Amino acid sequence: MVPLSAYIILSALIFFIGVVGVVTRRSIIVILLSIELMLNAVNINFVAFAQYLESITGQVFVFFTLTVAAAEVAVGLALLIAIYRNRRTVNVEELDLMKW
Amino acid sequence: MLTYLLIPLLPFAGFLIAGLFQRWMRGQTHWVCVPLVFASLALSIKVFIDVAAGHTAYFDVYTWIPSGDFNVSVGIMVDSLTASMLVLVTLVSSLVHLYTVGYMKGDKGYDRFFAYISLFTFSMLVLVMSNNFLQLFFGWEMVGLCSYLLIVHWYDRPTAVAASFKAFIQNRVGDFGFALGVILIWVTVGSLDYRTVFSAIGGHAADTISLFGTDVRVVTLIALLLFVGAVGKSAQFLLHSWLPDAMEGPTPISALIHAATMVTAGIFMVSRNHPIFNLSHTAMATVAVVGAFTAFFGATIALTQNDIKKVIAYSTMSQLGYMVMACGLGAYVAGMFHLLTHGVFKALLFLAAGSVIHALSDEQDIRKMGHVKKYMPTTYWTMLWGSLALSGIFPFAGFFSKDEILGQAFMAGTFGKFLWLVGVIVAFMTAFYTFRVFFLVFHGEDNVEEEAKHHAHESPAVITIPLVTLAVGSLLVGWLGNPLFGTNYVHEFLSPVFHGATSHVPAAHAAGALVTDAFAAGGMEAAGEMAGEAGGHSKVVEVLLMIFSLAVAGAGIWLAYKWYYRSSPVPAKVAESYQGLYKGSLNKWYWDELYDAVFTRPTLRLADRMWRIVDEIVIDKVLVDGIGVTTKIGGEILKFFQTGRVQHYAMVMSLGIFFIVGGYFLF
Repeated sequence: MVPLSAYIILSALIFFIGVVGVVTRRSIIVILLSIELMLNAVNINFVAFAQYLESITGQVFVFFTLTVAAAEVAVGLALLIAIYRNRRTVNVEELDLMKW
Repeated sequence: MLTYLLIPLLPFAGFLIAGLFQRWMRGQTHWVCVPLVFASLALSIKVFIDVAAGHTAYFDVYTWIPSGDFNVSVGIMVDSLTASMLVLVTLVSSLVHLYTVGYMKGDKGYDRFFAYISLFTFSMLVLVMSNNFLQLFFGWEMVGLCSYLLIVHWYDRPTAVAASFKAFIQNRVGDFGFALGVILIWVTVGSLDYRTVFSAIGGHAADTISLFGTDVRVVTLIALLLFVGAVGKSAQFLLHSWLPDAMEGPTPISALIHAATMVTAGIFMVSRNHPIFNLSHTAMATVAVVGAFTAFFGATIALTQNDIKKVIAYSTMSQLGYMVMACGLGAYVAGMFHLLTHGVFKALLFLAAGSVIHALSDEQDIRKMGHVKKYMPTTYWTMLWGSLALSGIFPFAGFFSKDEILGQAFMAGTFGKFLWLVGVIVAFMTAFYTFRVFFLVFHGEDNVEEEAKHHAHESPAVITIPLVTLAVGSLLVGWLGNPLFGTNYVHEFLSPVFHGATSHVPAAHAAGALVTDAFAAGGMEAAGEMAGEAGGHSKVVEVLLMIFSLAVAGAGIWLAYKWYYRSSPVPAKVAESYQGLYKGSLNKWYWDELYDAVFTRPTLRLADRMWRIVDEIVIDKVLVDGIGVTTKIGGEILKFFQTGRVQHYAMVMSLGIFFIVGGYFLF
């Protein structure tokens, strides 16, 4: 029997990798992938706690998360293509219009 | 009860109608106001007769301000003091209303003027009929307001605007003292009702209050504070300079407000509050000295003025000084008697002067008049009667009342003798300046400008009827208080009001020993005892005094005749040789300049500084602009945190959550 703490540590590690990816990588595609990692870390948490607490709610929530993640990726990729068409780049360091 | 209420409310109705509907009755408002005031006069006479028969009134109409312990009613008090004031006010007011019809004809503010003099009449009647201090204060402020509104009647003249400000501000100074006095009465007695206050105040005669570290008797303080109000309203020395300037207003209001009624409110108030004043020797001495000095001061200025209305204004100030002096000596009856006679003959003098001014196309400078007698005989004769009354010549009103005051002063110990001497000197000057004006205007050389001469004419009947009425009045009214032959009706009528007061005097004397009243202790008690008594002093002394003051007045008139009946080089020579005195008198002893230097200019300079420093620099620059600039600079600095890179924001957010959650677990 794998203890709950193991799942939580795994989930925290994956989430941390995701955060670092979002903060440090330059390609928008990789950032989107990192966000996907963070979402899945959360999913692991949900499932782990669902099993630990013997409640089905967490399992159900994972499906919602997956749905949202799919939608998010679809929108994100669409935006990515739009940005690429306009700016000829997907490097976030060059996309710095959000300032004074 | 309805009769009493209608007396003030009829003129108020006149004010409302004339004020609200003047658009639709342009130039016709006198059809409303004049009859209403005459109706009020008729009711006043009825009330006067009732009071003479012994029916006084004292009742509350309704509770005005119910607030815990503080309950003030609107009420009516009619005793002989009120009744005599009622008749004087409504009589002069009616005649002035009538006179205004002729005098203000064609003025663009004709209807406004009628509305305001009706409002004034209402306010003055409220003042005299009040049965408590707050209502008195209400009337007191209302007459002040009406005075202001009427002085500034010709609001396009800068001098009139300045004069109205001056009147308003100086009155405010006095009213502030008056209000403090009323508040102190409430604090001391716990009521503002006349009867309650007057019956309770004797019990507080020995109370003291700490003022700037010294113990002062409460009654002294109350009396002095109330007197500050009287000083402002009755143009006594130190708050006097508004009255002459108030002559910028139209002549009818000079007669009504600034001679016969409003300015006498101070004397009325002191007389009404005699139970309070009688308790304090210090206050009484102050009142007497201020009055005597004002009488002298006003008379010296009146000697040299060249504006006909200014001379009469200073004379009013001087005569008010007489009345205040009489009150200070405890001779309230004498003071009130002079108030009544003065109201009649001074209104007459103003109205006659107005008639002359009107006839000579608004010329007020007596050097540009002369030999006006031939144009206007009625005005000439009425003015002569008024002048004789003011000078105190035998059969006329002024003789009896002025003599009454001087006689009372003479009987009141050493202090009183000194005041009597001042009074006699003033009487001489009064006779002189009154007839100086009279001779310069009606006799002497004809200095009227050619232009004005064409229009010179006798005034219409609406002007001459009031003149003749008042002239007859100024001949007859004095006989009511004739001390020599038969009954002295004035004393008999008014004494009951002041009689209660005299019984307080011994108590006051005992209490007075608590504080140092070195100044007046001698003369005061004698005067106090005389206050309510009709006779009791030697007739021989009285007759001698009368003959003496008659001689003094005669000498004044004779001197004026010598110098001014025909043009004479003497006055110019006298002015030349006493140049300092002449200049001083002509320039009102530089009192305006002094106030200008001490109060007006520093205030304006302070205002200027406040504007330049506090407003322009502190508020505009530091506060308003400062906040803007600080925000702008803050923004300039903070904008560098906005790199525009999403990853930076994401990192700050992640770290923030990390620290918050971490902190939550750690602590």
